[in-house]
Amino acid sequence: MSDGTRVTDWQEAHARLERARLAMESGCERQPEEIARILTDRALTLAKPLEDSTPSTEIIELLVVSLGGERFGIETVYAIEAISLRELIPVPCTPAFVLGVVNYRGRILAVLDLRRILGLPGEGVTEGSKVVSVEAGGMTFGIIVDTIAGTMSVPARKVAPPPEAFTGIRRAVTRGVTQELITVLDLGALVQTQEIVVNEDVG
Amino acid sequence: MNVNTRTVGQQIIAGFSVLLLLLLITAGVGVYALTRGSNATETTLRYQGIILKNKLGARGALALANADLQQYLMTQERKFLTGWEKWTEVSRQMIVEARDTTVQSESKPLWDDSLRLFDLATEAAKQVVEAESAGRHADAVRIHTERFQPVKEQAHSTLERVMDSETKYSTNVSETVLSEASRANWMLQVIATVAFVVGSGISWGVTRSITRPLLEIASTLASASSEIVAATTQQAEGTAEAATAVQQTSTTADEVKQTAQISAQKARAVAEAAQKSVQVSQDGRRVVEESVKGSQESKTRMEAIAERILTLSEQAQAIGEIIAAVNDLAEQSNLLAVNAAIEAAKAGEAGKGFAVVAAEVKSLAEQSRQATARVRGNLNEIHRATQAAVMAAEQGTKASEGGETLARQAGESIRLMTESLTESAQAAQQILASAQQQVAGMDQMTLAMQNIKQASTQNMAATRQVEESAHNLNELARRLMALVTVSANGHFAKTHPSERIRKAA
Repeated sequence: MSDGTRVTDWQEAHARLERARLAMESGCERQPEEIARILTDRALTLAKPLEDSTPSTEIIELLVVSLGGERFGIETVYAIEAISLRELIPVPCTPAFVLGVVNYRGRILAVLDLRRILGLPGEGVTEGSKVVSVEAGGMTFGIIVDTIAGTMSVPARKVAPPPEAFTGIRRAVTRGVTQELITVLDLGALVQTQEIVVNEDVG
Repeated sequence: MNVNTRTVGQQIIAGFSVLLLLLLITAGVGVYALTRGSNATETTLRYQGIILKNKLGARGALALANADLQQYLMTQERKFLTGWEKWTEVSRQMIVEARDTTVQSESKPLWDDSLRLFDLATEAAKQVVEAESAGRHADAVRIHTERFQPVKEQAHSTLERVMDSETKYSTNVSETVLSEASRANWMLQVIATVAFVVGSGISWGVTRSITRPLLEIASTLASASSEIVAATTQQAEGTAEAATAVQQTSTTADEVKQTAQISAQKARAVAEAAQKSVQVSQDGRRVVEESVKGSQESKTRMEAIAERILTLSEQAQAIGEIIAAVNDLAEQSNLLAVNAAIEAAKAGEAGKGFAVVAAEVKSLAEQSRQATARVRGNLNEIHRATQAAVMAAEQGTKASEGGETLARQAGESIRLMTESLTESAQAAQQILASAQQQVAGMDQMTLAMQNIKQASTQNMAATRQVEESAHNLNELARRLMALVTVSANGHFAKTHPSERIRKAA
């Protein structure tokens, strides 16, 4: 198998094959030093929030999600569950921010698109899109998100009020911005706004 | 030319004959006239002479006789008598001679009368003498006076008359002769003029008839000889060139011979090389056959490799499916961890420990997801590598096929080359043979060239001789022309022969 320009070093090839075989055989068992490294990293990761936690202040638990290139924080008191987006059914005669409905444990759950409400770029759903079901103001609905980063605890004093640049509905639904530039959403205010009330007559 | 010459000869002969005839006629006429004139003159002269002599003689003798007689009468001496007798006899003879001589008819009777009277006078004189002798002087004187004197006078007068007649006659004869002579002279002049004119015409014609062809011949000869000279000069040049060419050809033949020898050596070398090449090409054919076999084997191996790689690819695909399942599980785990964290957060202080576990589970799920992502990337790489390997194997197979085809073509080429080489070897052998023949042929050619060279040299000498002869001929023509020109006496002034010769030369 030589095409003139490249001469295959068959000994090198045999050595590589041998290394691959060895790697395959030992693939299920991690090396001890690797295990130690993983544990160390994990310990460092988990150690950081404990240092910042101060029992005397109010703590806000946030479910951090990303949507339209921005990170948003949803207070866990509103969050019910995160689910995979499956079988989204579009609903006719609804505003643009209503993507459709999904079957959620036997119930019909409306899925909203905050990008439409907040004027963020992007639309539609992707393969990795997920739905966070929330309950606010007696209403249960789903919010579509790109990814779910996880939960985090933030002291209430470290949540700054919305900046002056936020206007309109954006300011209305924003509770504040953390130091990590996570916009903390006020879902209570969201359900209060007139914009999301679905009251449309179709003749 | 022969006919002309003969004609010219005949013309010359005829012309000369005519001229001769004219000359003869003229001469004959002249001779005739001259003879006649001279005869007449001679006759006349002799006649006149005789007559004159006799007349004068007779007269004189008579006078002498008379005188002697008278003296005798006076003296009576006998010596006068003898004289008288002698002179009387002389006179008589003269008269007789004149009478016999005369040719004039009317003079004859006169002469006869004269003689008769003379005889009578003589008779009377004799009587006188007899009388005297007898002493009768008176009688004698009387007879002399009476008889002798009248007869004598008569005789004298008759003689005078006949003299006059004779003189007149001779004058007439002379005049006749003179007139005849003048006539003959005139005739001679006429004939001479005619002869001169005719002779001039004939000689002009003959000369012309001779000189004109001669001129033409000389001119033709001059031009022909000039042409011969030119031709021989050209021939000499041609022969010289031929000699040079022969020289060059000889040199070339030598060179060709050397070349042919070199060719023979080369052909021998080529034949040996071709023989070796045939062996080498047979070896090459064996190698090509082995190469074909190797190519076929290589192709088979390549196909096996491709098969194996395809199997590997399918297995990688199976791994991909497994990985998808694992990824799904990781996703589910992640969601579960998030939900657990939410629940833990709702539980507040009680859920703290649970939150840690949930975070741990989420981290694990994340790691699993990342691991599956890496595996998926590896699988993609494997897929690409597999594709590349299969394509490479395909190319390898095709290359093997190509190599096989090439090897077969090479084998065919080598086979053809072997045939060509065999033919080349044979051709080289033939070239060798022909080169050897060529060498032999060149030797023969060199020999022939030498012969040609000799012949050429001889030819050149002969040409020189011919050229010289032509020059001589030309000179001859020139001289002939000059001769003819001189003989023609400027008759052909319009085209002067010397010019014509110069032109021709």
